Amino acid sequence: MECKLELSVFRFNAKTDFLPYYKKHFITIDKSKCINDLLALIHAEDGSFEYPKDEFSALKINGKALFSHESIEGIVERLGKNLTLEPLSTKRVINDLVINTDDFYQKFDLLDAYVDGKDRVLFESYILYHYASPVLDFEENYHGDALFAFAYDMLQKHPEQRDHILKIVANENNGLFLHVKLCKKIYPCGAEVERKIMELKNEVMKHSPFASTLVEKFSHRLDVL
Amino acid sequence: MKHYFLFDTLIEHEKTAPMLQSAQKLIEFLNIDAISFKGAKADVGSEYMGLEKVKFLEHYAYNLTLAANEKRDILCIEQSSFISHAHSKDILENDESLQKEIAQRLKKQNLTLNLDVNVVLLESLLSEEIGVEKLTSLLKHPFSNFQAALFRGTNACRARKYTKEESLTKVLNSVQLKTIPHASTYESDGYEVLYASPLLAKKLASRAMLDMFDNAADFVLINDARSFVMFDFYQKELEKVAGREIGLGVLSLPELLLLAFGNTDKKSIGLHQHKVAISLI
Repeated sequence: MECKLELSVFRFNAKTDFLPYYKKHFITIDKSKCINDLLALIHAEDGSFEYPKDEFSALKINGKALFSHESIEGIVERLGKNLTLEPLSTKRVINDLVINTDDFYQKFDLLDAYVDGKDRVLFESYILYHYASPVLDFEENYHGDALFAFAYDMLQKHPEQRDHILKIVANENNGLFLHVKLCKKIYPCGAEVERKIMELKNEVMKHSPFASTLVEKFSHRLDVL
Repeated sequence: MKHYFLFDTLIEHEKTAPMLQSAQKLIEFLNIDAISFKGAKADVGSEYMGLEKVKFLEHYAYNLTLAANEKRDILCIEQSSFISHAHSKDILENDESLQKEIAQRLKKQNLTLNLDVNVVLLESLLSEEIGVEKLTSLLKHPFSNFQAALFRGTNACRARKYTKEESLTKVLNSVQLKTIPHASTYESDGYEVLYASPLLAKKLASRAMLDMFDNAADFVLINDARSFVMFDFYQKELEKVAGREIGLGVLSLPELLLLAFGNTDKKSIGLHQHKVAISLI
């Protein structure tokens, strides 16, 4: 079944533009198609429009981070037919919806020594969570929620590396305890990652294998319970 | 009318005292059978579950058991205590091993775990038990000349699992309040990181407040004690962090309703205790 969408699409070329702008498109598309198909139709209307095309390509629609393989039907049901398409991070735009993801991959390096090279794909699958967090707007070096969800998975897979992993994620200045909930910022739902981050915090508090004033402070707060 | 315990040991009780005072006044005004929940353990906020889940569950299971034994439901006047109780009940009902562990812990306090109790949020009670018709009939000062910024925060997602989001909308419609659309409705109020990084917490809170201010809100309507702490108690500090004046009043639902029902005595409804003066009257 077809539907007509009113789109505002973020446009900015870091090499040539001074300011970003939003271009209007009115596109009729079959609801069974996915966002990737929609992006291809926009490109067909305007050949200069660029968007990510790799396995974990993602964007924000009406402020929610989501993968481009999501279906149009679900999006329209939840967000309506008037959609604003933006890159995952407007600060890191190279061209339109394509961003520089170096900062995201640098976070993987923090745990690289304690996991398998093959685990990198799992880390990549959490990219939405990295860029959805508002903490990143204020703490540039924030480890990021993708790293925390990944760290939780790695604790199950490589329990022998527990102390190393926990020490990194519990960093006082840019670690786990700066996380704020993302449920409403992720499509379709970020509840499972929230659960993982909560369990990871519990692990830190339980094992606290290192001296940290922050963990100590939280331990004292637990005394009220 | 059902029988309730009014959960009155809110998080940060010194900073959230106005919320409780107005809720008590409203409950009295509407003749709701909600007596003080004496002996209940104070709300600590769902953030604690991230520190030690089992201790957190034991804390709230204690309250649930006390209420269930007295055959009274728990009435929460705001989201923080509501989520903590409702979520604990949900987890314990669906996890047999945790339920056993918590039952053993409570046994040491001479209590037998009892989850036969409902946890009710004030807005649900107002919309479903009191009813919009009754609320409308009490209206003396409609809020049609004001526009509020409704702030739900990052916990709204969890609250929605246990209550209907439209309950609040129905109650607000009964006093003819207009709400403005703004991008911060579901953003963080910063409270969840307040103890890890006070500066980050205030940056998050000030961004949300400035967004609501810039969208021409006359006041902010909150339904979580943690939001009240960040937006009212710390507003002067938010202004320092933002480098801008905010001066935006913060109201809770009971305060709003009491004003709409004609109770404009600031002292009796707790408005005099607000850090940011309410100039609507």
